[in-house]
Amino acid sequence: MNRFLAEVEKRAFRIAQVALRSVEDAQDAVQEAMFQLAKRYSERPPAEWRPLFYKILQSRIRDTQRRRMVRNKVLSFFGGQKDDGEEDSMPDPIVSAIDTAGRDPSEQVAQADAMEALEVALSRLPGRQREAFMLRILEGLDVEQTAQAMGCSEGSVKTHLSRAMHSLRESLGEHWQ
Amino acid sequence: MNEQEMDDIFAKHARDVFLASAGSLDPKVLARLSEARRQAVDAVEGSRTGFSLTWRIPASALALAFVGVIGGALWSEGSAPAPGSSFTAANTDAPMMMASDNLDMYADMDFYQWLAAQDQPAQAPAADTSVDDSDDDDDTGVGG
Repeated sequence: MNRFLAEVEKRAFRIAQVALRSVEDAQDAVQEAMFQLAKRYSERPPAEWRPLFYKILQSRIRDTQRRRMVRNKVLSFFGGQKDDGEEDSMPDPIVSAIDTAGRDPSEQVAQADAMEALEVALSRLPGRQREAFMLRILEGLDVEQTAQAMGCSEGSVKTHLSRAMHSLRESLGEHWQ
Repeated sequence: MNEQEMDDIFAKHARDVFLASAGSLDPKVLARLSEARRQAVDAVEGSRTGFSLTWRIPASALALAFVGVIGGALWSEGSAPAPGSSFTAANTDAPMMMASDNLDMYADMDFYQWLAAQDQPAQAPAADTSVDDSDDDDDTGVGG
C-alpha cells in the first residue's frame, strides 16, 4: 500500500490541483483519498487500487466543487465578496524553481507555460470531460479503469474523452504541441 | 496525418507536460503528501492487528464495568450483617412496623409485658407448690 501511494501521490495531487485550482484543497482531497483507500480497500487486490483510488479522489473533488458552489451562491446572495477558494495558497515560486528533474531553466519555463495553458484549457471544460481526459490521458488509466473511476460506462468515457480532446486541441492550438 | 494520429501526439505531449509538472512539486507539498501517506498506511497496520484503537476504548470500558459489577457483588456479600444484628432486626421489624393493624399492640406493649409476667407462676406449678409446702411446714413447726 505504501509503495502504491508513493507512486501515485504526486500525479494525484496535480490532478486534484488542476481540478480544484487550490493547493490546500488538492492536498486535502488526496489525503482523504489515501485514507479511505487504505481503510476500506486495503484487502482488495493491488491491481484494483488505482481505479478505486481515483474514484475516491474524483468523488472528493466533486464534493469540494459542490461546497464551493453553494458557498459562492450564499455569498453572492448576501452581496459579500466572491470567495471561491481558488489559488488560495500557491507554492513559493523560488522554492518551486528548483527543478528536481535536472532540466535547464528554459526547458522548465517552457514546460511550466505549457502546463499553465493546459490547466486553463482544462478548467474551461465541462467536469466530466475534464475527468475523462485527466484520468485517461494524464494518469494513463485504460478505458475500463477510467469508467470504473468515473462511475460510468466505457462508452461514456470514450464520448467524454473525444469531446475533451477536440475542445482542448481547438483552444490550445497547433503551436502548443 | 489523420485525426487519430494528431490526437495521439496531442495526448503524448499533454502527458509529458503533466508528468514534468508532477515531478517538480513544492517540497512543502511533498512533505504533506508523505505525511498523509504515512497516516493512511498506519491506519491499515492498525486495522490488520484486529485490535485497533477503535476497539481498545470500548473493550477497556467493558472490562472496567465487569470488574465493577463483580467487585460490587463481592463487597455487598462480604458486608452483609450477622443474624441478630441491629441491621437485621431493623429489616425484620420493618414489615411489622409497616402493618397498621399491629400498631395498637405496640402502643400497649407495657400491658402485654405485665400480662406475660402474671402468667409465668401458673406455668410452673411444682416449684410454687414446694415453696408453699415448706412454708406450710414452717408454719406447722412453729405453730406445733
